[in-house]
Amino acid sequence: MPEHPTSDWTSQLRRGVLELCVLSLLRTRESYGYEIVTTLERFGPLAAGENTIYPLLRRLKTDRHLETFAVDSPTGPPRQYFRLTRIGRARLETLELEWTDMADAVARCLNEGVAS
Amino acid sequence: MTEEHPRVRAYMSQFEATLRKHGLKEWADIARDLRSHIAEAIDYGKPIDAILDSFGPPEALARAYAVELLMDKPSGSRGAGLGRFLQLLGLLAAGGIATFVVVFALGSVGLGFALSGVMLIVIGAIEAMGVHLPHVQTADLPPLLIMALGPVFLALGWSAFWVLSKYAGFIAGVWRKAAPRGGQAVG
Repeated sequence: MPEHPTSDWTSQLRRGVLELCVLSLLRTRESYGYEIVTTLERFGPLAAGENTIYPLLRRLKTDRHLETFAVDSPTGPPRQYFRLTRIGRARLETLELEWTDMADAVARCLNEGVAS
Repeated sequence: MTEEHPRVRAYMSQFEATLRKHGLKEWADIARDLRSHIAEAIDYGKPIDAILDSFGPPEALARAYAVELLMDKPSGSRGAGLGRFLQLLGLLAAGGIATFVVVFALGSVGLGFALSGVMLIVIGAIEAMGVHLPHVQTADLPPLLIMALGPVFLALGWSAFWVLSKYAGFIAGVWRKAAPRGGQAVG
């Protein structure tokens, strides 16, 4: 699946918010890597390739924000599901607050530019 | 469990070798993760060629893991921080000939000046005590001047290491910018 065409600036911006989005997707239910990648593709500029999401999932697991559990599959190796840990849920809440502050500040800044 | 597709086997072999080259101790776990991701995509009906193409070259994917895991790891103790710095330098040096040259040139200059600085202080102190070391040429410089040159050399060595760390940070930043567009070998 091709990535959403983006500028360099959008690419950097996306990289910063992907952690928040991945944690948020796992807020209410566990999921596995391929499903997370395909879900993000529905959100246009958030579409990041497997070569971005899989290393990020690994890092979130290493940082204990996510934990995994295996589900047997009849067609291949066990599927690896990801779910939020307590630390990951706290991280999600922190990032959400920071994102809300940032988005609000950017909106006010843009309005200031229009008004002046 | 079904037999692994030859192209997947070849890809995984290269991927695992590159992970090990980057010194990632958890390479076996990462490889197991990736096999799981491949199996998920196959279950979704995605062709194997398309799956591997979406990952990009195995070396680039392994490097993306290395950059992600090494860049964001908390440094912890001073020793762990130094180890991570050296690991990161190795990763960066493997990325291109220019970086390789810069890392080794600055590393050599830094190490040479830092060691010379220590030696100048020690030799100056010994000379100041009236002991003249055999085979040591001091160009008749006063012992105190020799000792005074020590910190200057140390500062030069430290500066080279500082520039090296800034360069490493810059290159890592470039890689991190490149990684989201993924799939292309960088460095």
